Amino acid sequence: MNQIQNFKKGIFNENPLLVTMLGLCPALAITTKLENALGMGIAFTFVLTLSNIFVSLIKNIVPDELRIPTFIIIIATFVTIIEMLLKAFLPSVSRNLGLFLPLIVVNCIILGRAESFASKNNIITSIIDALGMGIGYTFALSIISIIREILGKGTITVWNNLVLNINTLFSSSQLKIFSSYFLTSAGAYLILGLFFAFIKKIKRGNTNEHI
Amino acid sequence: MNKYIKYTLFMAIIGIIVGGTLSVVSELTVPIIEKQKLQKVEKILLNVDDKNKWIIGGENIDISDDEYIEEVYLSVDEKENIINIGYLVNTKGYSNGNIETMIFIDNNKKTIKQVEILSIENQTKGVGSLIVDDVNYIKVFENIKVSKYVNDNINNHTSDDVDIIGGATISSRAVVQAVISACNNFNNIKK
Repeated sequence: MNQIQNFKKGIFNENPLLVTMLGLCPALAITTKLENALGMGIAFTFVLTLSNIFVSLIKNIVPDELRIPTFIIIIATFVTIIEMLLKAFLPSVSRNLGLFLPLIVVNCIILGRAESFASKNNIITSIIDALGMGIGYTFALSIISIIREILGKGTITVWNNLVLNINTLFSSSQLKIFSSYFLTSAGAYLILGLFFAFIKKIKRGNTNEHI
Repeated sequence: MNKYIKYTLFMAIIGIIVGGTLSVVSELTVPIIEKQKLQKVEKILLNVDDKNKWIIGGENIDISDDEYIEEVYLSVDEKENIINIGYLVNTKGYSNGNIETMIFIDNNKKTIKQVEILSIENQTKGVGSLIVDDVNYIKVFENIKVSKYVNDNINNHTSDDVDIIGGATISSRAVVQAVISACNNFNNIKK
């Protein structure tokens, strides 16, 4: 596999959220706003890239029995660093991500990439893999949050800047009740489910197979 | 070398590297976080009372007995009469996350003037975070007599249930604990 394919696989064929269905809990919880998705995506990519670099660097000196605890310590360190940086520089994002930020430590995607990829490949390949996976995850979170924020609130706001406002379309009370559904976890499930179905359909091509 | 000694040494080295890295990042970020907190506190103080002067602490106010109260602010008029007393209280919410609340008490009326939640940590979005997301929540404390919360105990707290949010029970109990601490301290001030 060349490096371009290595990079692209995380965004398309092996997208951690939309294809392999990993990291679903934070995806359901934080995709109510685009800025949360971007914050989570940036934090996730930061932690994944740095943990992949370090795991790849020390892969030959880590005793087999200590592999998982060592990887978790490395991941936890970078999560703590990003937590402190977000608190200092993007406090609103830090507040919105809440408990899901420290929970990146046990995110199965990061530990999975460290164990199955970075511990078997060189640094450059591991960085490209992490960037592809990070961008793929951020992309998936952003798409879901854009749909939920538009349908749920009628606006798109990124770090206090109003990017889009179609709130007037949701002015009737019946529509407001319907639209608020998309801000709930059930609404997130519905949108995710439709995404999974759409991707499966694309993968299978235009055959007559049932989804 | 015995493999257990080797493993212990390995983990110790990892621990030292991690500890060192985190302390460097902490040195860089903690002053910025503290500065932001101070700016937020100043904004709240001016919002509560912008006519009188705010000072920190006071001779008659002892907060050493209370494990939750971090700081006391007094707004005083030109004759040095205390108009309002503000408490910065740090209690624990869900997942042991810190919830910093500011409680302002009207010194003349002996009522709670205003409650503001300064920061919440680790409270689940949409559940524990309701204490800040629901803008009407903190208003339920306004104009309540201090005596209502004096000698109250959070473990036996039997309020009329308006100060506890269903779904955010642990987080709102942390806010109520902050109010209880502030009211008890206010009640014990040597007049």
